Amino acid sequence: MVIEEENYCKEYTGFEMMLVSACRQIRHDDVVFNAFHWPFLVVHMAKLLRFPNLFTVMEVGLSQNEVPKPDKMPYSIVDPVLVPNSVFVGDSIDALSILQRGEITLAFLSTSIIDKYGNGNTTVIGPYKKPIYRLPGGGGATEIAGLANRLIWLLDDHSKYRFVEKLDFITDPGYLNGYDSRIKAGYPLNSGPEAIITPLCIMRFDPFTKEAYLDALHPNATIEQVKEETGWNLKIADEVRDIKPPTMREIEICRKTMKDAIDQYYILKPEWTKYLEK
Amino acid sequence: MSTDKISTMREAIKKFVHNNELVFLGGFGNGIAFSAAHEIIRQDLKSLTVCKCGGGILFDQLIGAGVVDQIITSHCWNPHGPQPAWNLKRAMEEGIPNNLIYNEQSLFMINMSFYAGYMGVPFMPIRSIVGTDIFDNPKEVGLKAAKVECPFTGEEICVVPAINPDVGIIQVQRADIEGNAQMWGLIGDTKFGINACKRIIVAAEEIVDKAVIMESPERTIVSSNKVDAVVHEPWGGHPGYMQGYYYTDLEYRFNYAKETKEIRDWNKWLEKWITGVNDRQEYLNILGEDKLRKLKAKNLIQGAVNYGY
Repeated sequence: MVIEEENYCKEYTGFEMMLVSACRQIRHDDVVFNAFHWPFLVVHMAKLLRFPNLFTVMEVGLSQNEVPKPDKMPYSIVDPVLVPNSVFVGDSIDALSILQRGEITLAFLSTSIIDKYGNGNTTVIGPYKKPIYRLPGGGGATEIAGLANRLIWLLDDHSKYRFVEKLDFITDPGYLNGYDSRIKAGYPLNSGPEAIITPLCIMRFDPFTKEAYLDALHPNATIEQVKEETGWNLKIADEVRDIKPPTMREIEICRKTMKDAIDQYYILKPEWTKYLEK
Repeated sequence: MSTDKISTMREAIKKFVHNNELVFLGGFGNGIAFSAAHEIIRQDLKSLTVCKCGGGILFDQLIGAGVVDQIITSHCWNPHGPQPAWNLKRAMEEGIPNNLIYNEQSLFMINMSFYAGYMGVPFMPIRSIVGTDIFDNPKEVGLKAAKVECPFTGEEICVVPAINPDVGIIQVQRADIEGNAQMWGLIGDTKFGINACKRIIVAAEEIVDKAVIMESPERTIVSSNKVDAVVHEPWGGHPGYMQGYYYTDLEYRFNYAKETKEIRDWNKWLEKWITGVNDRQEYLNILGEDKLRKLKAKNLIQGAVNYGY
């Protein structure tokens, strides 16, 4: 019998660890809202790795529970290759209504900036009227964050600039001002951010204050480093768990997915892809 | 009265789209109305407000060309990379070429506003934007959403207003000369958005006989009673895709970001692809036959059913 440790990958990037760690949060019976960009890669990996028949819904109005076609990775959630591989195609309102009816059990989202209550900003950096940096706007992320049962944020860069005490603009509702403010605003009881996954760690949310705290560390990251790179005074779990490194199988699927994504014009930073075969 | 509404894109835009109007452009990946937008730019229309669930590089071009004062959308970026929509950034950050109002929407919000317009009711309820800054920004566009009490349950719920554009343009797979327009694959906001419009231009990859439309009438997203003009416009959705006709031009869209990052490069791009050509055919000539051959979709004909009774 092979000793389990030997199956773990030794060299991998923080970005790869983030994708793998996110993939492990999916349960076999989840109904997943499949959003553009990093979430799309995570769901793609999950279908190849563990759950080929995972039920996924996309905001353009399409539902699937089939393994991706091998010839071409979709370049986005609107790729026409998705259509003949789907069980339902309708209007955007169909997909968003699935969400509003409370049928989406899990969603991943990436965002530009996040605060300690898990609110996201993809609208503007600086004053709204005089932006330093204009961002795209939220698209469907506003309702995904508002209405999915479990929301998992993916932040590819764990730094003070991305993790801030207070946002310039709330595009995507997390726990708003913490405590019961999200419920008071009218969002479903069983909804809201469950975790933030970064190259360094997994944060979860205090059940009472709804503030994000450090729950588990990715290998090679330290508590001090996470605290240093977070823009608020981050609270730490009494016992910080250690997350296992990617298995050889996980990293193989992860790298294949990344490679296919690059072929479809995703931009991945060189430091994320240094172990990809050229 | 003749039921033949066939027109060129130039005539249709000239006749049915005017300065200061609210314009809907169709397509969410599938059938993005690029050809129509390019003609709007060539005719140098002014002070338009454009609406669409995701603006993408289509809105970026309209912004850069200076034909729009306001965009109503939930997202405007170049999804390939992803990379910034540079004209949007220039307009929002520096007021170049003019000050632009970005009427912030969420995807559900704008879809439900189109749906209210489609249904002929003044507003629709949604559960998703309370507590966000999308709810009431930017202030200068007035009341964007409100909270009301449900008369049946007493629950407080958010409502968003109907959008009824002055004119809408869609790019579809096929239509007949009367304007019965069929689209398949991903629809996004196109069906509800176009039916909310007061005037409608349909651009189609193919013009077919009405009998073909009637073979699968559930594919019709807008019917002839509402349509003002029909344009035969093959490849009108390039560099987006049209299911069954051509694939997204990923390379072109990816390079667009680098070719428009600086304003002088954008001006060159604008002249090469839009103002320097007379129509879609000349645009396709620049693109070249090799490229078109590469993008052309392979046949995948399926889904015949029994309509017997």
